[in-house]
Amino acid sequence: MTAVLAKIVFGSYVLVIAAGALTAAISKSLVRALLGLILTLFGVAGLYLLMAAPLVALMQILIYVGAVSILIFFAIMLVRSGPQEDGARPRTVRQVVLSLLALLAPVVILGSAILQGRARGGPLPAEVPVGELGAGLLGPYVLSFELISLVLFVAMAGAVLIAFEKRGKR
Amino acid sequence: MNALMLYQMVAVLLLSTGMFGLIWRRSLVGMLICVELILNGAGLSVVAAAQLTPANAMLGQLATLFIMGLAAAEATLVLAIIRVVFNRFKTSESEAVSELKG
Amino acid sequence: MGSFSIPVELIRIVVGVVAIAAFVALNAIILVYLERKVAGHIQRRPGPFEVGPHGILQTVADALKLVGKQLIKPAGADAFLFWLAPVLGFLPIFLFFLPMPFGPVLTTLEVPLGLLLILAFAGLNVLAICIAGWGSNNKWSLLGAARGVAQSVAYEIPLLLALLAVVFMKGSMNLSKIIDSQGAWPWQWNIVLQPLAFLIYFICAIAETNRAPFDLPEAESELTAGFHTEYSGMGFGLFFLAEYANMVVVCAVATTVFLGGWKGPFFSGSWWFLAKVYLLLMLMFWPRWTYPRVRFDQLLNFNWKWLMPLALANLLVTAFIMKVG
Repeated sequence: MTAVLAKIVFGSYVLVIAAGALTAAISKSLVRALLGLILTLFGVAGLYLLMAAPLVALMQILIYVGAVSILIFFAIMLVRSGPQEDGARPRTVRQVVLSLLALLAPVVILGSAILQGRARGGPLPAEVPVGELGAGLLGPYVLSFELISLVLFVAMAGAVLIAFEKRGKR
Repeated sequence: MNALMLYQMVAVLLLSTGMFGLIWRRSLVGMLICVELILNGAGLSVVAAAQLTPANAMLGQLATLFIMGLAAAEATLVLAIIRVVFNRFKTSESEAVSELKG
Repeated sequence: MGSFSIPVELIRIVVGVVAIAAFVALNAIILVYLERKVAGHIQRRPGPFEVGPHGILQTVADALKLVGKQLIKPAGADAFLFWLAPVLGFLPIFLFFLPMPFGPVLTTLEVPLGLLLILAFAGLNVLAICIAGWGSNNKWSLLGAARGVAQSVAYEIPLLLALLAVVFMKGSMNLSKIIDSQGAWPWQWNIVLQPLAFLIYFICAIAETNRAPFDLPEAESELTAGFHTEYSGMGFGLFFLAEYANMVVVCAVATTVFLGGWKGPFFSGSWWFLAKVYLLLMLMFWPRWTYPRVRFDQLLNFNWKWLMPLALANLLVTAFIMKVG
């Protein structure tokens, strides 16, 4: 029963991801595209849970849905240029062909690599205890841990530096 | 068609939809949304490879956490850039802001 | 095909979710009445008095009124987004109470990362505010939403850091384990070990739930009604319900993490949990009618210049003591 349930849950998560990704790529309204992205983020978090990686799933929700989505929403609010949001002019044939090429190339190349590689999946995924992940961050991978905090700091400082308008400069 | 292949196909689906949207969309914020899709696909692929194979599971999960951190940093910077572009060009359509033609 | 039996955990979750729904609804009814009574008595007036003896049935009358009102959508608003926002604000409530230990065995779902689950889904409230502000097609709503988002996102950080200090000391994010590590008597609770963290957490909780004196997003006397200006009837009712449920959630988390949860000096059980949650809720009602509303720049200054450095210092001192002591 649990195996059937797992397959049903997996299928529904993939459906959620597909619907969200399609909305995010095509929708004319940017806020709906953002909602599609959020749907996809939830679907991916669900897949992480299915793979017995609960910390990654919850961090996905905390970071992506809780922070990055809000950031993108503020970006949408900042660049509002009217009700028609993503271009009223129809796309040229060249653009359509290039987009479809961009869609099909990864599917064909990577898809055939996956199918031919015939990777032998291991047994059921085992959950890594959170303590072990933490020990890894402070142990073998402490350099990446420090570097990511540096990267985030530089990104924030850079963003403020780029976009800051000095008061009284109006 | 085992579980690992299924997860990797989902990741490829995310990657290709993201790339399609990146080329299809005209506004800069729409492109940012599609870049986030691509990064999600990458993270999913890494965790699947870590959890479902004999590879080091901890390394894969940590790598995905780092990818999330990098995505957040990158979204911040892209937002700042979009803000400056919008202030300068009064629009954020990618075709309007491309001055180098040819 | 094996035996077609429903896993026990699934039954437990379903029963738990139904019980949570009943708990949330009952709490909302009681809390609305209680707040108005407390507000009245602080302001030296009796509060609701007409409907039922001492106004007890006031909330029922209010609920009937809200349900009966016409659902109006502003012209030019995106209907899907407009009606999505209250639902999005309301749905995570069930998730918040899943890992909450109401009693020794009354946890719906034992999640090793229970605290992180609650904190992760608290971000959905911010998203609901965003979508409400945008979907109303109203520049005051959008402004209120932008303020609300800036406030919520800012105050989330000291909240996380304060809870993180307790997690450092107890070594687990499992809410049941955190309660187990505390004793029954008040001096054995975590608040004695981390008083500053409790204070920071409580202030941030008041700001996160948009309660006065941090209620600028709702700002009844300023931006008309902030992000929920355009909502009437059940849409407003859902936001209202979500706000009170969020208050219960943050007080329940505070009870679990700092005040020993369901443990008490004698007869430990869920009644202690409820008593502590209600004590904290009364503590939350109090500043609304005693403090004036904080100005927006004062709000953000207070967070970035005071709360966050304090929370970081608290975390550092905790880590230092744990490493050295």
